[in-house]
Amino acid sequence: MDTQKPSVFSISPLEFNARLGRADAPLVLDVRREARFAESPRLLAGAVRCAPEDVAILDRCIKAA
Amino acid sequence: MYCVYGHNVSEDAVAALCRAGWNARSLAGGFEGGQDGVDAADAIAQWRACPPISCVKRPDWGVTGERASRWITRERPKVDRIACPWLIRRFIDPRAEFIYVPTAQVFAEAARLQAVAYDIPGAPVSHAGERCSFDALLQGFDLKDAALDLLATIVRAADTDRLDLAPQAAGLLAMSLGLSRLHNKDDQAILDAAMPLYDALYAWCRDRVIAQDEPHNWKPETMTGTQA
Repeated sequence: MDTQKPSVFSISPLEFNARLGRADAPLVLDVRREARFAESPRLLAGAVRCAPEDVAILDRCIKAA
Repeated sequence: MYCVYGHNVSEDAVAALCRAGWNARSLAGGFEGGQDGVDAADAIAQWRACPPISCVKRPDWGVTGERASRWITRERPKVDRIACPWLIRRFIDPRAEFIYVPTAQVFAEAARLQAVAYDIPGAPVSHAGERCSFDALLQGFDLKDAALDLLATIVRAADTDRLDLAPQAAGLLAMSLGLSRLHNKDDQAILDAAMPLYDALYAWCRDRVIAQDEPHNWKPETMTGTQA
């Protein structure tokens, strides 16, 4: 969204939707800050929660069941 | 990955993951589609015209994104009891666990294993009128996607003996019964074998929906530069 920064590390909602519903779909991480995550009634399709401060220990976050 | 507006939070997370060797991308606009007054108005409008597919959290069904959900139904699945796990795994919870047990044990095992019973009368997710459990999941999670709606029609047609609803249903039913025959002692094997079948059917539904949408997306004012 921010045109001042390179967009190589982002994907559009259109691209996102096109990658769903298949075996090689990307892992979708919800990294919203805790308060915003907690108050939100929704998730993006198939999202796995990973608090931003836990990104550094992502493996643990993914494997936590 | 995504944060609220697709700004610093997800950008920092993407940078951290890329440094760790992941091929990470942030979702442009994040969860809300950008922030009024901060992001470009046309970018916000573009996001809202085609938002990413989302679902509601259902803590009552164990789905909040924070841990794996668990689902249980009757053994010997054919159509709906395979289509539902596909939908959950692909659009709701990729870590979900699916359990098949004899009909008489579904509710007792659901309580014991803290699993959500589905596709059995009296379960939170089941048939309602002409609509099957797959329909109930789409509604219960508020999943809005035209291709999933088309898939739901095919699943409903195959599952409720209404093959007149969609010509593809006869094929889906034949394949489902065939998989059940091939793996007649292993319900998990049926599910594993059917996943690519539903991936393929959904891919077909997507193409079909996109082709039908093309006349509506015909915007001559944006195409003037492409004329030969």
